Amino acid sequence: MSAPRGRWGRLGALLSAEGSLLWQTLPVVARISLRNLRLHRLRTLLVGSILLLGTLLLLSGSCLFEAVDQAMERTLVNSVAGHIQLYRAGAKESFQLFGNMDGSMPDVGVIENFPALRRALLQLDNVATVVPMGIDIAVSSTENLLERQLAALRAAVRSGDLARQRALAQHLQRVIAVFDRSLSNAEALIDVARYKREYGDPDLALARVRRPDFWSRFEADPYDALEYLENEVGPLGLDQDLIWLRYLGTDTALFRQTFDRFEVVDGTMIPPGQRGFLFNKRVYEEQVKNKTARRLDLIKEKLDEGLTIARCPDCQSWIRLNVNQTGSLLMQLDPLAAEAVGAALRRELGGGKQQSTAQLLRELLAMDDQNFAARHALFYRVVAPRLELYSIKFGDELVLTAFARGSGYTRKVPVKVYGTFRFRSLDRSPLAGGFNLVDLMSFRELYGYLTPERRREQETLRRRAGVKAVTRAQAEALFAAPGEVVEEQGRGAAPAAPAGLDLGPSTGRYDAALQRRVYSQSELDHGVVVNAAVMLKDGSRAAQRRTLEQLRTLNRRLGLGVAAIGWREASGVVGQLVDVIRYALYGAMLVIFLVALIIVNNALLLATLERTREIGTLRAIGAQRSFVLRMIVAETVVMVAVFGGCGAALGSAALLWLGHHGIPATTDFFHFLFSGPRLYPALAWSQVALALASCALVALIATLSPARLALRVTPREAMAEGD
Amino acid sequence: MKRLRTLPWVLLFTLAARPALAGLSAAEALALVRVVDERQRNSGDWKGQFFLQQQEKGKNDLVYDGVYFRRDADDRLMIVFVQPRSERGKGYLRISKNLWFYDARIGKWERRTERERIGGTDSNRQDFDESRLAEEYLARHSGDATLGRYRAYVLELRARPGVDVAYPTLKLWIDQQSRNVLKRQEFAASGKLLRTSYYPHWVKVQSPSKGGEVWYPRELRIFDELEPANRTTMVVREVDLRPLPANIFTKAWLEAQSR
Repeated sequence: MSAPRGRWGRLGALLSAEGSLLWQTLPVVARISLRNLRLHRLRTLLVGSILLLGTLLLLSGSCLFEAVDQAMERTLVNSVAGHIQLYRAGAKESFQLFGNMDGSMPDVGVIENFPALRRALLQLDNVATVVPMGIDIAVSSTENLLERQLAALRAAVRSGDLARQRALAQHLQRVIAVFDRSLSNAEALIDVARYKREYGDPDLALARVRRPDFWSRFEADPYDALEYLENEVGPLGLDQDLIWLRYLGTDTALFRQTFDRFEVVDGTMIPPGQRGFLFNKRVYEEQVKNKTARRLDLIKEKLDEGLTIARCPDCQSWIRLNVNQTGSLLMQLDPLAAEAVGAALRRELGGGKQQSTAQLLRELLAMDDQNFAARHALFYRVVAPRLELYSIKFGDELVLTAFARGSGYTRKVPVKVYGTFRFRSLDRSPLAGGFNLVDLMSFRELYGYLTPERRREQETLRRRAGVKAVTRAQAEALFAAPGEVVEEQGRGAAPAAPAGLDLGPSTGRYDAALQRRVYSQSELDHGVVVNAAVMLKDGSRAAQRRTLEQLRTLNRRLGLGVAAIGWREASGVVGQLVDVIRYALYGAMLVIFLVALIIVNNALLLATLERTREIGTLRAIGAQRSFVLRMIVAETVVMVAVFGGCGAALGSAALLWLGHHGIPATTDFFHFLFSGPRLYPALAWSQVALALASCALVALIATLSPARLALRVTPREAMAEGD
Repeated sequence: MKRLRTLPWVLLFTLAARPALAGLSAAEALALVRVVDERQRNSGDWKGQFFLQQQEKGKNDLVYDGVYFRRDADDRLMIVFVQPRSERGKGYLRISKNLWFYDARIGKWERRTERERIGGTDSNRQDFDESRLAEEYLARHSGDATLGRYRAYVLELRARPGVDVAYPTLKLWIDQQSRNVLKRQEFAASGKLLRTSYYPHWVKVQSPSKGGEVWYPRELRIFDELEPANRTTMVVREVDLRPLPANIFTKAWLEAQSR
């Protein structure tokens, strides 16, 4: 038999010899290792517990994170983002579906030719639908109760509906009377001196209304009475509410077909092709509902979560507000309703006949843990049906006011409210649940795009006025220019005094016919589109990446002029939240394993030092260094197998249990994070293998320095230690 | 009443007789402001056609043609947009302390504040309304200045205590010869300059109700000092001072125009 030649040949022979030796000595090594682990139970338990805990945490953490990531993807993609978002290439800012950090929407311009873009994209095999969109923020004023009543009364007078006019006038009379009485406390609520400066003396304004003949003569000249009420009495009601609404303008029918997380909660869907508005259910409850009723709902939510009023400072504050604001509640009740509420409350609360409705309402709303359930039910049974529970009702016209993108000037568009909707799982998230839905035509009008026709109209007006452009730097030169006439004689013959302006019908008046109009698909497609959501047939991550690449290539080839981003990037902060959690998880695991590494390493080092004599003896009776190394490593492997395995088994069992029962979302944040009321994590075998491998790696690294120490032990040192 | 109206002119004569560079006392400065008001006062009704344009950097222009009506005796003002078509019938109505906005496309009224930017421009209600500077402010002569070919008194005006005005402090450049305002600066309570306006072109018309001439700025150039690239141009084209129908300053009248 010839000796192996060359370096690689010698190494191969050595490994082969070692391998053969390993198998021969394995039973002995295993026995020694198990004996050592049994002998040093405390150390074994300490190191083993750390390995068990690390494996358990890594496995459950990574599976939970994966579940959150997948849940968020499903929710965002299927509610509003689609798999891919498109917006104008070279836009000033990058697109953010949920807006900038300050709440504003980024200025991304408009997609030049949406119909051509959609045609091109639908050529790609994996593209299912392309949904046109636009997102912006509008404000809507609910006006104070007094002004709402006045506006309704004016509309009734204008329409000639005498019965309605009488009913509204009667209610208004009551509202003003209640307000008049509450003026005695006005000093506590408003700066009266300033108020008088701005609007005049309230006493003076109400003097005319207090006279009985004001109301008896109302029908004789309703417009005169209305002018007085609107200008002198209307400003007295100070509680005007502004509702901020983030709205998503889209082809509503296509949107509904595409996004399966969308569902109408109350009312009906906007009819296909028509104008209309759907409130997000959460926004509707928070901003449109009667404040007293809303506060009662919030208290109920807290109690349902297990809190008590006594332990909930917010609940106590809401109850105080409700009690203090019974006046505004009373103002909403017309005389008949107030009487009925008073009678019912007297009966239910056992009040005396001398107690007024206001006193009874205060008593009803002064709730505590003992009476909350009964009184909450009583409120909804007796008071709520007679209140204007929502200041905007289904079928009402909501006037949206938005800053036009082109000019910065506000534009107003009235839309009919059809109902409320929610994105399943996103509805309790204040961050992502705040979209309201509006039709594309109304969105475009709010957007205020300057069409070529309107641009030409502006030029004509400019030419007619004969105005020269003057910059700030040129302004003072207006007084120096030779020939500039500063004074001139006015026209002697003035035009005839106007009998009227004769404006004719206002163009594009938002009348009932416009609200009923059904727009064709072509009209919906041709016009301003700010962004578009692309929904894919195959939504797997690999397919998403592949289609995004294909789309970008097509965009370059055909010059479509759009930027394409994935749902995660488009979701901005919301999408990045998953990344933040991912990095936090990795960071936490790293720290845990570093600590584990140090503890395990120290424990093993101490154990090795304790065993110097034993190792030396083994070496003295002929054990090679490799045998000692195998012995140390075998101990680690056994610990990883036993304790890491236990950790993995425990983690797997916990995940299987949680996967069946789910983890409840206790707060709105978790509701959003879990994309629903519960998170159901799934056990992935790849994560089990990863957790065990990580555990083994850490344990082996921790074994390196003890092993090195053990290998340095010589028989002579061991004997010397014994002496 | 007639004696009261002649008083500013007596003071004005006194002013003219003073050496050109002598400072004006507070009373004389206020008298000068009264002259400015008096020259623009009409007493009766007013109808004017206007062009209004707002230009801002990086944004589309806003351009309007419209008509405004005034009945100064009752403190009433109405501004109605006639062009462009999309804005037709929209307007403002001031009745005593209330400023209302009407959107003809919606058919609804909204209460607006004194600082309302008319049609989204840098102009506000005061640019259309009767000049009431002497009623609202106290004046101080802060020096003289030259504006192109004109020598001007520079007056600093501070709001009278208890009077609610859009700008607590003003600075006026008043032509020493004609007593027309050439330049006006408006400041916030903090002293920050908000707007600078130039009045390069004044026109006079005969007023039957006043029995004399009434002056109005034909051109007004407003520069936004907070957003330096923003500027507004207002041009008043024709003014008619004959009486208007009695019911014109009502919501019902404006609503009826675009029905």
